[in-house]
Amino acid sequence: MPFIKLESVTKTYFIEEQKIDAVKNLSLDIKRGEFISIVGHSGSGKTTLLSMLGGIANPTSGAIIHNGVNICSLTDESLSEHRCQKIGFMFQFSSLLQMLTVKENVLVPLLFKTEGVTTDDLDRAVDLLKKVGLEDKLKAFPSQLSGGQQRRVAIARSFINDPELILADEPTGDLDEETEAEMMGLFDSMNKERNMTFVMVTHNSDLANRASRRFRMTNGIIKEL
Amino acid sequence: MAHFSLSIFAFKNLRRKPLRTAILSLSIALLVAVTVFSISFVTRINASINKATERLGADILIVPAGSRGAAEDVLLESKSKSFFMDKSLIDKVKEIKGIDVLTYQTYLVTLTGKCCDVPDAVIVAFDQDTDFIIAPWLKEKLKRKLKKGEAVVGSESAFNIDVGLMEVDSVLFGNVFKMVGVLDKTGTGLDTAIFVSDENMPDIIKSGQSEIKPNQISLMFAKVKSGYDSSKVAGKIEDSIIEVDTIARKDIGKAMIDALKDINRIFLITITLACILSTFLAWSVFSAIANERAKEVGIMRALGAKESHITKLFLTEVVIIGAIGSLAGVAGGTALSIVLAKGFTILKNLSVDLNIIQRSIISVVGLCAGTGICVSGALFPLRRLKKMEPLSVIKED
Ligand SMILES: Nc1ncnc2c1ncn2[C@@H]1O[C@H](COP(=O)(O)OP(=O)(O)OP(=O)(O)O)[C@@H](O)[C@H]1O
Ligand SMILES: [Mg+2]
Repeated sequence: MPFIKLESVTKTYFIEEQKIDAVKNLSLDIKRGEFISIVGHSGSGKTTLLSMLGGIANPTSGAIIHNGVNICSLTDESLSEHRCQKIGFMFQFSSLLQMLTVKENVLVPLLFKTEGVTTDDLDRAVDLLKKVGLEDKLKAFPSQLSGGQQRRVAIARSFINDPELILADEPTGDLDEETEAEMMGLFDSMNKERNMTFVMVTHNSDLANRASRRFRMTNGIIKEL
Repeated sequence: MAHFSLSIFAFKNLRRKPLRTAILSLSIALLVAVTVFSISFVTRINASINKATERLGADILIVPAGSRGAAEDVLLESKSKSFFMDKSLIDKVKEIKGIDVLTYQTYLVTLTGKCCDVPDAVIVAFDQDTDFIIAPWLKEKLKRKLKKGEAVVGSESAFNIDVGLMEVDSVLFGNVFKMVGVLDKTGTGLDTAIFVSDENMPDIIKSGQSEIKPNQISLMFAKVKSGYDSSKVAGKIEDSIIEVDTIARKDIGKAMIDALKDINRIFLITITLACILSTFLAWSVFSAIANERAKEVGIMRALGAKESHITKLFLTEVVIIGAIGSLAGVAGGTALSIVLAKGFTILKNLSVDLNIIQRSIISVVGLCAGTGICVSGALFPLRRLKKMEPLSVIKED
């Protein structure tokens, strides 16, 4: 049984009368520990696909089976728990909470676990921030950071709950080459050492080529490269 | 130990837009203050009437026809008023079935510089043979009956007349009285009165300085025999003797409460309007907050927050805002009720103040009302916030 199985997943949006198939009849198997990259033109449906994989958008039709569970039929409560325990999101859009410091932002996903934030978690948050090179910004607020620094906080945050699936939407969008390489190194080690499965959207073909499987999306249709 | 939790997060959220939060808190505070003040006002009047009724210890008051209000003014509010009826009515009342014991009193109003050398007060002449009203009060203080030419003063008059430790002489209606003591506070309107024995009446009348005519009294107090209903006996008295009106025990203070009905209505309207306004204000503030935080909530939902987490986060903040406002309101309302008590004639003359327990209950009511209104204004915005699809709001900028 594959780790994740997409069965003819379609997501249709309507703008006025116009029907837009953001993702069209997409079927795909993902194995545990794979590193998948997706490239594609703007508007081809990459973010939509990632959102459905992570359970923050529901397919119009089709099923997404994660470890044998069809997440599309989960209740809102179970789906939230699923996201909390198994998914790490790196959003395409800025996504830090403005009222919280860098360190607190990294801890946010743990607020929603039953056990809450523990002392160990604090250490792990600092550790992750070290890994993304922000150990000197623990107490800073998002508005005091550069775009690339904010992006790296979001990267650290996605690892805090030790998820089995990382959904990265252009995670290195506003990073310089050197930092980008460091982040890719971090992804690789998380992927190899902790067996995290990655699905990463990128516009950078060099990065895409480092993945174990590569895909291209065009108008909602996916093709393996 | 919580290093970081949803509650801490909620506290941090409070610091956003402090002015808007303060205005909402302030409006809740005003609402609660008005509520606390109104309830205190009404409770205090009721408590005073109950205490006075209890201390008077009579089942029925029998007053000259048309003098119910005046009698209550004297007995509950310490107003100086006099009213008279014929003494022969006593025997008529005694004949009514169900009357157990009966005593009478005569009220004379002093006029400073005219008849008497004491400030304005009511002089109460009571019949020591039948009396059951003043005797228990006297027993606590004097431990004997009053002799002719002696007087005791109510607790509130004491410092006006300057008695206390020393015995002093005063002229009342042309007669010299020795002030032999001060009564403890009774909680009735008679706390400002001066008490003398009925034996002095002939001399007082003789002096001609009072409006009273011979063989007149002001009112009677009656107790009914056990097994008789005081309201029914009172009704019977009124039916058979047209010269008198009666007030049964449970109706004492009714005239006063009736007079307060309009004030009560104004309180009620004010509170209702304030509630509606505050709810709308809370609703609009929390709607704005919900809009501002839609994206954040979307992000938190994507990161694993359940609807219940969003509820907890949002409501913690709402309850804190409501509670701060309500606390300020309770403090303000209580202070107002204490300060304004001195300005309202009706309250100034009431002797009973609210005790700690009554004030605490009123405070809790105020707290619940204020916080409840804040929460109810937040419910719809919260519902909308919880039900949003995370993806659609995350993309907002
Ligand atoms: N809420 C929505 N309502 C209507 N149409 C939408 C909505 N969200 C996305 N779409 C449409 O779905 C299509 C796919 O959008 P999506 O965000 O998945 O693209 P993308 O591949 O991530 O693009 P980009 O590289 O620019 O981020 C687009 O044509 C977009 O207009
Ligand atoms: Mg996208």
